[in-house]
Amino acid sequence: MRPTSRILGVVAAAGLLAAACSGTAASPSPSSAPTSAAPASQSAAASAPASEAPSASAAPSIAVPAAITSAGKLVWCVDVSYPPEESYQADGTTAEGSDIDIANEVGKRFGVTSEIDNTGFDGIIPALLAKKCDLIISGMNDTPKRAEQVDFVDYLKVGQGLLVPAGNPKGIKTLADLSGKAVAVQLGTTNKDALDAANKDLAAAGKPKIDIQTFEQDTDAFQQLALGRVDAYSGDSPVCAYYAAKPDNAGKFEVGGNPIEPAPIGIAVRKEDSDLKTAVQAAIDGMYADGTMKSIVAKWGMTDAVVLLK
Amino acid sequence: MHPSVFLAAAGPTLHFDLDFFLDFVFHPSSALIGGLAITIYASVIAQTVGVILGTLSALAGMARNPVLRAISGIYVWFFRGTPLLVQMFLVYFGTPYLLGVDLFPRELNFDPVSLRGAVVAGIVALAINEGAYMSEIVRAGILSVDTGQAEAAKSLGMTYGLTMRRIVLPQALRVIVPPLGNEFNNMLKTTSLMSVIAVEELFRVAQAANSATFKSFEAFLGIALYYLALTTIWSILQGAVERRLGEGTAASADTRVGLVARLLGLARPNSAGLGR
Repeated sequence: MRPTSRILGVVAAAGLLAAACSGTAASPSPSSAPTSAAPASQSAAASAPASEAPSASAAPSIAVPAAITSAGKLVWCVDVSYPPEESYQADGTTAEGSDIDIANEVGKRFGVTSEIDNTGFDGIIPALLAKKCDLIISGMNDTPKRAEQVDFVDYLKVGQGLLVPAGNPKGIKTLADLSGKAVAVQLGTTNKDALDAANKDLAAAGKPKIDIQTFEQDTDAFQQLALGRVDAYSGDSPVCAYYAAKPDNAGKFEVGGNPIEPAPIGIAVRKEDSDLKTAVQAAIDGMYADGTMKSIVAKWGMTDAVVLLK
Repeated sequence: MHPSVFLAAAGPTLHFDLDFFLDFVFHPSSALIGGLAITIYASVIAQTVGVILGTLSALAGMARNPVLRAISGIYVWFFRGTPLLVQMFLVYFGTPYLLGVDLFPRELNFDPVSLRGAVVAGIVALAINEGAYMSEIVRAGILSVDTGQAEAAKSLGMTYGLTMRRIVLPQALRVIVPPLGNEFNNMLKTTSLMSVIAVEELFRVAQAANSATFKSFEAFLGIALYYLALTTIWSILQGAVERRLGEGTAASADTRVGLVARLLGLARPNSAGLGR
């Protein structure tokens, strides 16, 4: 679950390699820090024709794969049940959230539209591999296990929290505090993995296990806490903060603790689509360079709950 | 990495992790065994309650009292006319808001056992839905018994209840049992819908294995074999029950359907003993 520098190194190296292959300026050594992908896109910008509007900072032009340009759209697999990162507006059809804004922004920088394909989280990687979409953006942690299946372009770091009833009557701050108690969590998430790992530790220590209840949709998992059927809800820190701060829930819940340190979340691409990955990396780098990422994070009230990569 | 078996096919290579598959099926985890237990007992309880509800509804539907007939009609109309999945969400997520009290908390105590609220909610939804289908099946069974039987019983001074219990329902059973068997076959598979309300039945266990390993084909094929084993065992039992019920009737020679024919759905449509 934790980010490994190996993966980030590979991501950076692949980005640089692809940039070099596409005929731009020579790149620095692949062994440099993950953030070194940025110079590659900047040099690409320098050698590319200025197609963008002549506004303040020259937005780097991106080598968009021909298949995407000709399709005119990017299709994103998103599990639209994870506010504030992705959820539906009251109309039930318009997706919104930080991930949706980031997806739209990547599309804009590619010169194509972004289309959101709502996909259950536990089947989201198989859906990408089955080419039901081009990319995944769904608050997905970049984990070694998932990286065996897909490549990631990391864009934020997010920790995990536990949401509990206001006043935290059972004193739940850590995963171990959940021993013998019930927690609701979405299926297929790293949050579930963390709870499974905690259960192994508890079993080894001879303590009662956590009663883990898994749901298809994260919003269903949260609802279990709202109905008082479980003692806690496990979700990513920004999601816990969102539920606690939501006006409807005023004074009902609080974040008991954030037991899992921030770890990278990434946009997933198929391993064979290295051109697309390079282009997405360039778009994300551009969003960091011109402050777009920071403003999206601020717009969704996540500034305190996430860590920017740079 | 698990060693994979690569099956050469005309076209793309197939990837099938045979070791994972065999381990998943033949060395079932405790979660899988637990899931199997829930699938079996939820099916049995829901079907039993469904038969009781269906019988009551069928009798109400044929009663002289128009209120009873209306209740039965609306019940069958609503629960046959809406998706079971929707009914499951109505029961589990909807009722606490409607009633202001949660009927399905984390644990429900039925001395001497305690069940998860979600399992009980799932069984309730399955049973109510099943009752609507059974109502129609029981009604058809009762209508298949010649009215002369009930009239004869009445002329002997039997009450309505006694006539139903001793004369009509036993004869109706011959017509009811074959479709009842099919309903239970269906029930064994339909319990998988309980996964949406976090019941750790067979399908949810496969989903969890899938999301932990991404061995999608292996996990879901593995669970398919478990369902197939359950429905196959049930088919054998069903055949035995039907032969027993068919004994002593003119049609009994025709009702014997071999196991293979039964599994493959080759049984003749009138083999239930109807239309002779």
